[in-house]
Amino acid sequence: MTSADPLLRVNDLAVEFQTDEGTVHAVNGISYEISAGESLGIVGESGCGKSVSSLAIMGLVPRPAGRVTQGEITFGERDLLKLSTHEMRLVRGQQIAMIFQDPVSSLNPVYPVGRQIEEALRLHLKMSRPDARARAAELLDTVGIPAPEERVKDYPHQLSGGMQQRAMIAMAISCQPDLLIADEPTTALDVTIQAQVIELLAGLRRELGMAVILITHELALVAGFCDRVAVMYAGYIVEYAPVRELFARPQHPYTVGLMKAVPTLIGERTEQLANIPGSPPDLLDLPHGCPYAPRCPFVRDECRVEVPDLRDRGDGHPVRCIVDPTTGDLR
Amino acid sequence: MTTSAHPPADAAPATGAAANANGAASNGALLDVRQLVKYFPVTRGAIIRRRVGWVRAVDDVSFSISAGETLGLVGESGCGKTTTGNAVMQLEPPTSGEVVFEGRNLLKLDPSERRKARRRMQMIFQDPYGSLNPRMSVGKIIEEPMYVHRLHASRKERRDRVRELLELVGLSPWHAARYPHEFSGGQRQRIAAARSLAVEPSFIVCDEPVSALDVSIQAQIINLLRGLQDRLGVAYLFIAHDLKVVRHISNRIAVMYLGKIVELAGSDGLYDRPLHPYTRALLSAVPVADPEIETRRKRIILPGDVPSPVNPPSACRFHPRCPWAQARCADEEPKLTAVDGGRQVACHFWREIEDSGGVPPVAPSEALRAG
Repeated sequence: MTSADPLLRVNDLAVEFQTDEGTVHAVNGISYEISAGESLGIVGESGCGKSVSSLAIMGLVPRPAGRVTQGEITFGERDLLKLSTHEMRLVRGQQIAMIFQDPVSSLNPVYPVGRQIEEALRLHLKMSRPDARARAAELLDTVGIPAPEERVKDYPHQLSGGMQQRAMIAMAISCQPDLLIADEPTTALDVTIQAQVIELLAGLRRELGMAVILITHELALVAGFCDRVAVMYAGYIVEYAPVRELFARPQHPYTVGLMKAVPTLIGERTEQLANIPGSPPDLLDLPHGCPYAPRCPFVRDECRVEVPDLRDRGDGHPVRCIVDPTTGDLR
Repeated sequence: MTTSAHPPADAAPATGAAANANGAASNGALLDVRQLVKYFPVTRGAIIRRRVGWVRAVDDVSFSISAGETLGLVGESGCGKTTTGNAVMQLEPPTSGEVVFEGRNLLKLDPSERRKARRRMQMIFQDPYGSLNPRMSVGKIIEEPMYVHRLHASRKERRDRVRELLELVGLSPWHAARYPHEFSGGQRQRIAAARSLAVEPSFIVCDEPVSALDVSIQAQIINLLRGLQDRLGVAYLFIAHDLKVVRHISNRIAVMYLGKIVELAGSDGLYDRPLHPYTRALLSAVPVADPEIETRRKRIILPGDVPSPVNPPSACRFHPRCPWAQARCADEEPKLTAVDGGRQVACHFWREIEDSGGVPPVAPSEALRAG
């Protein structure tokens, strides 16, 4: 976590939402960083705060209900949380781009896809209309859409789900951003189409040298794509490690449980899936102490007193837990 | 369950193959589906509706399921797996074919007979929010099927049975008084399971029962379904797109593509040695939770999208996307034929592909552009 000049550094970020039922603690002080060209995976189940933390980077936390209550998001030299709306608009799209799970609702249904890509090019790169039009077709070609000169005239509904997501990716890379945030980019897609999109993203990352944050609920997806992984639970990062290290030596009981709860595709068939009892905690009313304590097989009395720190024990693999899940003893 | 639920592929009932080959009734199968076809009309015109084509959702599908067995049905969206489940359940009357359940062809029964036969077959749906009536208490939801099928004479008996069922699926008897909105997605799938078991079925169609749930909850429901099968000996048609889940729960697996079964094999056989090019591509596309394996793995990237089932490609429906396709694949439809070990595959060249090591002649980067 101490590389000299990270591209993006998130420090102690917290996000809350005010609702009729009370305050939802969606993100509770998370820190991570990503260097140029690197790929970071953020993994967790629904409601763990993985999407909200990225919306905060983009300055897109829905207001007035949502609010960043603490922390800094340093991108290059600047704290993104201190930028004006206008300054933030210039960062968004041009330096940091984002693609979402559902391409249908991310694309404007009443404009052809080509025109939507042109819009970004003209706004950010001040391109002329004919130049932007030609570039839009080039971009569609880059993301592997066949007959791009024809497809630029298509409306979003005329494209399949996989093609829509590719059009979104074309739009996202149109200004050659330094960082691409992909929020569950393949969750709505079939597995063979998911393979196409992931292959595409990996290729673009290599060619354009952009950093990618991949947000997903699927641990297996980050295994082949990311350099480092943060595992989130109830608004906390519970474990943060290089990808090989994480899969070889998972250190948080939640990560261990998650890995054993998924059946295997190759090798020996899992006889019995690990049962993680109960459900994730209510973010309106987080339990005292470690949020995973009520479901944790290694829980101790200390766990229910205060949230453990995310502690790096000198191995570059910080864990937010006082118990070693391999032995069940205190660390 | 350790042994009984997972017999080796070779021990899997060969009834499916037998029924396909000669269409004759096979003994021992709980459910026998033969040449099942389901077409939906495509219409045009608001006032005068005329039919302009057919969606060939399910096109000549045959399989069988033995008592206590799980047959997995996998494929991507639009392949016809859900329609197959609905047609088996008679939720949508099949266009043609036979569905023989416990010895009787459901398509030939009169409505009251069919209703009686259907007591023994139940269904669990994907959406635990849409499949439970929000205005009924959980107790009423579970009691209703017993009432419909006149299973227990007295109210007291039915109530006792509701309590029993709630405990069976890992809930508490006092949950009976609560309403669906008070439960999480996983708990609702438990309620759906309890409801389906209320009428003592021998067969349950599970249509994507865990795909709406988070990973940690998925494992709970999968373990529950397997436990129930152990205890009650109920058979499942388990429809899902998640190949890891299907592998875990199934004895045998049928792979569907555009309304056809392209491969049917024992669970271990299918994953250790996929024969059909589509099965190969499907399995290679699933990410594995191991960075070491992922860096070494060779993915088969299929070009383009699944074609429309309104105008499916000629002959082999997979040929436009198949990396190994040859001229014959566009002219002659490969039949689902029995090959070694009691498994079936519908491909002219499966043996040649296997002999060549299964490496596609097209590189992933090329396939990506060839859409």
